[in-house]
Amino acid sequence: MNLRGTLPTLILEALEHQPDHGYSIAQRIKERSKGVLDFKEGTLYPTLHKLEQEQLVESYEEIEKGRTRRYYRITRTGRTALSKGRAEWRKLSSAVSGILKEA
Amino acid sequence: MTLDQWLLIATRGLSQESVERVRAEIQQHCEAASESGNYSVAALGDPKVANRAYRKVLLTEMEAKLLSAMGGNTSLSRKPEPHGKILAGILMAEAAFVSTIFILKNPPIAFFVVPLFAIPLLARLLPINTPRRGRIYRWVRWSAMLAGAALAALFGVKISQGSFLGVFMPMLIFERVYSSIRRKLPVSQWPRRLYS
Repeated sequence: MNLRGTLPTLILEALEHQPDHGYSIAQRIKERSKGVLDFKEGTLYPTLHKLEQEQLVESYEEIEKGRTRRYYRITRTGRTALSKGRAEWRKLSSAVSGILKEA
Repeated sequence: MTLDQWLLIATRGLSQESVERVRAEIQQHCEAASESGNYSVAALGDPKVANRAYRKVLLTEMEAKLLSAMGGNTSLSRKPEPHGKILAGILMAEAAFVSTIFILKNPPIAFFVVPLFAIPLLARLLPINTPRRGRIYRWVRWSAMLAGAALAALFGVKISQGSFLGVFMPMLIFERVYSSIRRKLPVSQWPRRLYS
């Protein structure tokens, strides 16, 4: 399913409770959507960079099992953006559902 | 396709710093995928699509060179060399001289020439080093230049298509590149030139 426009909100949602690294973020989105939202993992990082530039997430490096890994965590501005994203999605989803029920 | 081939296409045209960051994050991603037994280059998707997405958020080679020439904060950065400043001074003096001749010969052209040269010169003196002030300055500069061109045309000065393309087009191109760098770089790393 096409994720265009919703990936930033899904990433913020995935980071809401704990910081995580790119691969794990991608897997959690896929798992939580039960495989419906399947996206190419190469597009995840440009979106993460964009979120970082907008100061919605911040990144830091950690050594794990002798390997450097970049983790991302949501910022306060990011939490506000997430709430806004959720509200917008609910509004859009209920509008589309209303139309589809009518049809 | 191998991971190296994927990275080569995905990082095409990006600055050295950006290439290193992309390589590191994708390699870390693939290591994590291997650990969970899910490694596949195909899962990364089309590298050309990734390249287009990366170009929108990371500095390109051309932007990094421009930033470096401005004395910006990249791995390529260097302080503007003194002879560069002298050359810029000579060019500015030359432009001011040519403008004065033009204005004396054809006063209405001052409407066009004065905003074109005087406002960018003013930028060096004005305290525009905050994103908001920079935005206001750019808005004023473009408005003054376009209004100047309109007034000059109103007074019968013919601004040929060639001079329009020769003056406004390069400025528009630079404006677009500067705006792209502003979007990609944290404000703390902006060289002064980027505000104007």
